[in-house]
Amino acid sequence: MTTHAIEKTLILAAPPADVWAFLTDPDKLEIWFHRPQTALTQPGPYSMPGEDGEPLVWGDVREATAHSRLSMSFTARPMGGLMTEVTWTLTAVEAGTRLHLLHDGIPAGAEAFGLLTAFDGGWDDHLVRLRKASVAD
Amino acid sequence: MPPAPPEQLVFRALADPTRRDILLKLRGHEMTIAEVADGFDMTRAAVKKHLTMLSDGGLIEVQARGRERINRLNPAALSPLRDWLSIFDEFWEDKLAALKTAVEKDTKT
Repeated sequence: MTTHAIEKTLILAAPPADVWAFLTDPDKLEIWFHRPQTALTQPGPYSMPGEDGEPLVWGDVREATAHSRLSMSFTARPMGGLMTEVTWTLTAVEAGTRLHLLHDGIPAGAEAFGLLTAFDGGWDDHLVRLRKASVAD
Repeated sequence: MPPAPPEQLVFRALADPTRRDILLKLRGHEMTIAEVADGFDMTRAAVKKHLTMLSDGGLIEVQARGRERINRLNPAALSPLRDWLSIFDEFWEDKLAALKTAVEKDTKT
């Protein structure tokens, strides 16, 4: 299966320790992503439930090196069980923190058919923007 | 081959779980309306309505064969949706913008 990666880099005006908290602390993750049931500071499984209480995003924390590197496997309900890999790298810079995101293992091509048909309610509206066209339904 | 239908029609066709189930059922099988309806707890008329929306979205092709209408999956119509890279790309753009706002607001206070 052909897979691709997405890479993003941004500079945040906050020290790495603060940024690290936003990537690992449930209270902070809840603000901008989804709330995990446990902090992502130890290797091992994690799960972020949706509003219905069922897992929405889950995987395994593979490496959690405080303030510098967090890598985890990552899947979400509409992804049909397909595991991808997400790695965050934090570097202290003068302005604060350079945060790098690598999301690897994203399929391209016909495999996506299975993912699409796995869509159901409750997933983050970003991925469900596809559903917005359903108003006339 | 007809031109690809507007993406809106594809999305609308896919927005309903029953229609997605119908597509799964049609994967690799041509079926009459009665065959599609078999296993769904709804009237044949309701199934036909779903098939019409799928056909409007170009997701299936319907062919008359004698008195039957044969429904067949058209995987090519899914191509606008195959691009998971761009979906994730947009997903992370939005999430990282939210992260930046949250982090920097937190740091200032």
